[in-house]
Amino acid sequence: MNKNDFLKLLRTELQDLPADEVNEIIRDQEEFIREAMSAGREEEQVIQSLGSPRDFAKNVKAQQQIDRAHSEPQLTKQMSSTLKAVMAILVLAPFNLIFFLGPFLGIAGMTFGVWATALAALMLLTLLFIAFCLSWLFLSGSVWVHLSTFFSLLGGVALSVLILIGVYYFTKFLVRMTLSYLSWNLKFIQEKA
Amino acid sequence: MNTQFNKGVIEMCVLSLVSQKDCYGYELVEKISQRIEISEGTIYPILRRLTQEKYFETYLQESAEGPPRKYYKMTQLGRQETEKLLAAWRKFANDVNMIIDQRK
Repeated sequence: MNKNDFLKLLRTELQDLPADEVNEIIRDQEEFIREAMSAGREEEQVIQSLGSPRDFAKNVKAQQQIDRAHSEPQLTKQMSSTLKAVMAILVLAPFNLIFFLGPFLGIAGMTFGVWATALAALMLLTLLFIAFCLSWLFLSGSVWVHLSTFFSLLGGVALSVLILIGVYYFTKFLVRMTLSYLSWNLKFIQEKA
Repeated sequence: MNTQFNKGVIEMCVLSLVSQKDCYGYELVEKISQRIEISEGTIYPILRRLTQEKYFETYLQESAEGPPRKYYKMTQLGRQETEKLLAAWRKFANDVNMIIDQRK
């Protein structure tokens, strides 16, 4: 494979990235090959030393996905970017995440469970609370019983809100931890000699 | 050379070299591979990452032999982080040496 073949292949592999980024990468690789050749090295051997264009492209994409997830301000979008970054690293080096994936899926699943439960509880308790407030006047019986029901329901609503806030921050924390783990992992993949 | 040792240190070598003077990509590859066995494709992803993390800035400069080269220049942030990293590394290397040298 000569220089032009290599660069052309690399461009094809990178095609779903923004054009100016692709141009920048091609420029860098072109400069590298040119410098190596003017230092007296064989074209063929220089190209070989760069590894396959496909691996190079996977690496760049994984990095880009992590960066994107980092800079995403909205939590839901950040979560989906983070999942994509996990996928990108899985494609790049399937065995690298082997010890990560189990605990990650477990904790992510549990977090999702808490979200769902707290949301459901919040909706149900809010409905009950409203229904109770509306019907209070028509209920017979001791006012103390009504008051205690009123405060129990109100307390339940407040508790679900608290749990939701807690799980929101926990999710943020989880995303941040996942991203730093992925960055660290990618660093190792990149420095694999 | 056991390649396991390379992991993590190449980034530090790159940071240290660029903190001494502005460098272009091939120059870094040459300087590092004189002593450490690296696959040459590894340097550019590291350079790109460090640039994205704002440790480096880049500029193009004409070379005597032909088209311009891209130089990497360390930012203030990069300098701070490099100092921290090198201090941690020196302590670590020192501690490891102490342990190895006790074995007599």
